[in-house]
Order: sequence, then structure tokens, then C-alpha cells
Amino acid sequence: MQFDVQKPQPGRLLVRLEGVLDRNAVPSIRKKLLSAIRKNVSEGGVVSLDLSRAPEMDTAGVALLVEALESVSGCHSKLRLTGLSEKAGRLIRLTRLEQVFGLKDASQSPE
Amino acid sequence: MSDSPFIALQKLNSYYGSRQILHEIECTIPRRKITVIMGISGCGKSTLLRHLIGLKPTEAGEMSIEGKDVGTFDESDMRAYRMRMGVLFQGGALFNSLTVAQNVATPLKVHTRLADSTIAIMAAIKLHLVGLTGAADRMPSQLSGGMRKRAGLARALAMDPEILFVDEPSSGLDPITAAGLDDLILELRETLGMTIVVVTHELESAFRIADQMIVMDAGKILVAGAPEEIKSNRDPRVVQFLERRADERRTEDESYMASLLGGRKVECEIEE
Repeated sequence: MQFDVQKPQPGRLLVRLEGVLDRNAVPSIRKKLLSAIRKNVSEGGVVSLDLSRAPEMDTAGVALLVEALESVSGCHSKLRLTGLSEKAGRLIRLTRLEQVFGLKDASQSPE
Repeated sequence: MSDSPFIALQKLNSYYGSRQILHEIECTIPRRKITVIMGISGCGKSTLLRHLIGLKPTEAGEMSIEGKDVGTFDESDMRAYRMRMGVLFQGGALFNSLTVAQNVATPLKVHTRLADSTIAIMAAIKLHLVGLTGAADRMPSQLSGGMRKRAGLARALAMDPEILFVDEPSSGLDPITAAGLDDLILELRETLGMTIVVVTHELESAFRIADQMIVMDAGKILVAGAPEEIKSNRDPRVVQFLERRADERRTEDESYMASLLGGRKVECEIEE
């Protein structure tokens, strides 16, 4: 799985994931993602996680998103998911985490 | 590949010792569908399930997975197949020395390199799916039969299996919990495109969830097809099963009398 980090401006972090976010990919991605958040995010910051090139995930991927959210919230910052596929959205709804990630109904993208 | 069956059985015969349990079984398990295997106790459906999950070797006939004959599988092929499946056994088959959450986490700890914190979240997700969030720290001995079954299902789902085998999901559950489990099975197929095989004799549940049904009797497939085809089938054995009528006992009674009286014609009357 490909992992790319950009810092477009102070307090903002853009992380792009490419590939399948599953139990095989999560162990290595997790270290990079959580480390990037810890190093680069300060209070009031925003972490954008671009999933447009990672349309497929399993519950290991969802668990990683929860860990990222915990980490970002620990820095009093905000996590923003972009490019979430319909399939990934369905999985998040199945796991009853739609409110946690700001998916309000089936037709809506995350905030 | 997408339209080809996940599993295909051809002329499968199965034995326990010299006793033949399955006779010339031919059927397919389609992808991303729910297949329900039904029949009265002792009809061979659990033996068929044991073949499908690779617990019983194929002695006669062929079972193929994605077109590959299981008979040619080596140890690593079979391990790879098992990694793709989740199985809920009748009693839940939990590890009694582990908490419910630890039970669910075990396959992930054994088979993946995921961090403990990721595994803990995944276990919590699966327990929430089956309605057992509050029971994560309980020991299996502290659970009711229905809760054990749901915990077993959470563990079967731990690895996000491509194919899920479920043995008697509704038995021992109250009607509301059983209906909730049916909803979850339907949701897993809808959302994840999971291939699901359910063995049950609960007709209401079977007709609610099935895309395809296989009705077994005395080790043979009586009929297989879509639920509406099964409902309209006029085979007396199928009708008898669907109407939940007890088996005709006349033949058994006749052989019982023959065993007692050696086939002799007897006459007897009671004088009052």
C-alpha cells in the first residue's frame, strides 16, 4: 500500500493512501500514519485522510481509522476523511461507526 | 471467476466407518449469496458442512474450491482456504479460559501482524455487531447459550472472512435475538458481499435469509433451488418437511413387529 504525507500549511496534514486498506496492509501503514500525526499535528490542526485511491477496506482498515481519530483527538485536532468510497462507507455503517466519522445517512459523504 | 461458484460438489459420497452418510451429493455454493442447507436431524447436513469447511476429507467424489479440486490441496492450500473462512459451530466452541473479547481477538493475534490496539478495536466492532458490547470482559461460563452463540459468531467474523459457515444460528435463541441474527447475516451479504452457508432446520429463518436452499433427506439432496421453488415443490418428503409433519411411522412399526414376532401372523384379543 502506498502512503504519502504532505504539509500544505502549518497545522494541516494531508495523508494519501493508495491500495487496499486491509489486515495485511494496516500493520505497516499504522506506524507511519500515527507517527506522522504525532510529529506534525498540534492543537487546533486538521488531518485530512484522502481515501480516494483506497476504495477497499476491511474492519482492520476501519479500526485504523478509529486509531487515527483517537490520535488526532488526543492532539485536540480534527480528522477529515475525503474520497471515501461508497463501499467503505457501507462498511463504516455496518460497524455502526457512521456518527463517529460524520456519515449522517446513506446518501451523504463524510463531513 | 465472479459468476463461477465458490464451491462445487460432484458425486460426493461420505462415510463414517462402513456407514454411508452422504450419497452422490451434487451442488454448488454461489458467491455472495446465502445458501441454506436444511433437513431433519440425521439427514447428513452437518456432515456436508464438515466437508465444506475441510474438516472431513473427501473420500469419494469431488469437492472443488474456485475450480480447484480439494483432493489436490496440500497442507498450505488447505490452510489458505481456512484463512478465508469463518465458522460458527453449534455450541459456539469458545475457549473457556479466555474472556469473550479475548476469544474474538484470538484469530487476529494468531494469524495477523496487527497491533494489539487495532485488534482490540476490531474485537469491539465484532462484538457490537452481534449485540455483545457489554459482555466483552465476561468468561464464557457466565454467558447464556444464546450469548455464547453470538460470541462464537463474533469470533467467526474476526478475520472478515470471504465465506462464512454458520451451524444452526437460531437454536437456543429467543425469537427477537434470532431475528436480529438473521438481519446481521443479510447485512453481511449486502454490505460485504460475503458468501454465507447456513445449516438450519428453522424454516422461518431459512426462508427469510436464503438466496438458495438445499433440502436434504437421508443423506441425499431432495431438492435444491430458490426459496420459491422449494415452497412450490410437491415432492411428498419436501412437503412433509415444510409442513413440519412427523415422519410416517408405519414402515418402522412393521419392521419393529417383524423383529419381535419373526414375521409370524398372530391373533390376539382382550376379553373384558
